[in-house]
Amino acid sequence: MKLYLEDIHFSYEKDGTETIRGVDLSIEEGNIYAFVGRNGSGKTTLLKIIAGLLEPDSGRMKFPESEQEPEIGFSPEDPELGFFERTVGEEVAFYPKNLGLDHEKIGEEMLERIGISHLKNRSPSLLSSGQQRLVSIASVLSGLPEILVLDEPTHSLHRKGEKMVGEVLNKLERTILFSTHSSDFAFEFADEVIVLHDGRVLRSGKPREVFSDIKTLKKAGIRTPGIVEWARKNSIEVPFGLEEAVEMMKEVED
Amino acid sequence: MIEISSFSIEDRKGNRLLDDLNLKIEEGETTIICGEPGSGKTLLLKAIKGVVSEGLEKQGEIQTEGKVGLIFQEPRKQMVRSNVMMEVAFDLENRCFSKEKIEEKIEKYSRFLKAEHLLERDIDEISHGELTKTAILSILVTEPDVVLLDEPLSSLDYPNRNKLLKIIERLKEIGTTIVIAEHDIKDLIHVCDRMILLKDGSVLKDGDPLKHKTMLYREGVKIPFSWELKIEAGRGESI
Repeated sequence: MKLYLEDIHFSYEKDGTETIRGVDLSIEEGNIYAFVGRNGSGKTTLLKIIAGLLEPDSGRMKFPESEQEPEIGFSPEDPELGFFERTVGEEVAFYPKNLGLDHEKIGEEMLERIGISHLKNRSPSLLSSGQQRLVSIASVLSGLPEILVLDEPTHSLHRKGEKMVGEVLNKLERTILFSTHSSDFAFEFADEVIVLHDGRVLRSGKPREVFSDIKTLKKAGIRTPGIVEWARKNSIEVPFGLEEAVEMMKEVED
Repeated sequence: MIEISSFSIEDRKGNRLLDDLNLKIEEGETTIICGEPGSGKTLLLKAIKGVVSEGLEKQGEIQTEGKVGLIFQEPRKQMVRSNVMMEVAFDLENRCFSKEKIEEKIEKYSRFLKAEHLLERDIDEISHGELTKTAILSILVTEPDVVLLDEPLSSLDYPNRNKLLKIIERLKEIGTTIVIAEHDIKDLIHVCDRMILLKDGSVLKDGDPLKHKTMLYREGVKIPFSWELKIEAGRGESI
């Protein structure tokens, strides 16, 4: 599902101080977009506007290929805010049930894909924050929305959880937008990186290009991904991923 | 000093969330507790602080010497007042310190943390990084012997992360016992003396993280990319 943002402005303050100060974006169908930037740069606000949870003060969102607004799924930064069912199994089956889909089958599949089948009968509110994150993502995915908006989907996750979420997102073939402080995750799993700074887009582009731009990273307070730092130290081209880096390292060292 | 003896926690359905832990954390030691989501990191910190949720059954004993301060994963959840100065004074007022003494402590520790500029601000208008700093200041003014930090780094941007790491280094310098629950140890390796790796509520490994890099990686802990690369290339022993 394509999506265009045109000159979006938004303010929480009565005095008109803007959190989003004129954002134009063209979101292509099936791509994964990572929004990166400091705390307070506008990532969460912009994602909430896209998810329809906040109304922009001015500007427009357009879906050029659709007559009606598409289904957009949202996973909040604090996953506990989104829970209202008694068990993890019921929580993950909620959206497909409401949509009249085969909720038991879809729910089971999603629990399996996200690796949380063992939590099925547990209460979502009593889980650890990392487990809650996985439940939140599984329940949004189970609604099979056309556009997925995820606020900090890897927050509180360890490396394996982060990788699993990234791999599931990659296989979904949906338009996905997420915010993250993990530049390693954005490098590995995003097709496009959008750098926000003071409520505006400072730069956007392919991960290898954006994350090699030291000036932008410094200005926006973003950490250089480990893989880019390693390539820079060894004066070699930035590899596309860990596997390629392993091969390159063997060449450098042998 | 923290001494944990035969300590377990179960939920109402009989799930063992912490399983027969026996640990001794020495005064002045900096310890990282790591492990996958649900391994028991946060629960262990809460148990040390003595704030385990109702409905969970505890067995065994935890003894702590001195005052213990806990910084929650989501610091906003521990704020009870609307202004930073008032928030920071809350615990001291409850301990019946005089107004002068409270001001003296707040001045001393806000200078230590370089947080003087925050004191007049409202909690609702400060950034996430500043909230973390306020939570740490609220704990520091009580002059704790032990500071527990629950995943303090993951919601911070890179500049705030670096600031917090400096604060942890300074706490270490003044001899505070520090226990940090984290699944990302990239930036903490140089400050920590010891790592406790939890799995399903039990201790899987307890020791120097530099001696257990491959195990940490296999258990899903985030480690420096250069380590990851060498382990994946089968050269983990050369790190």
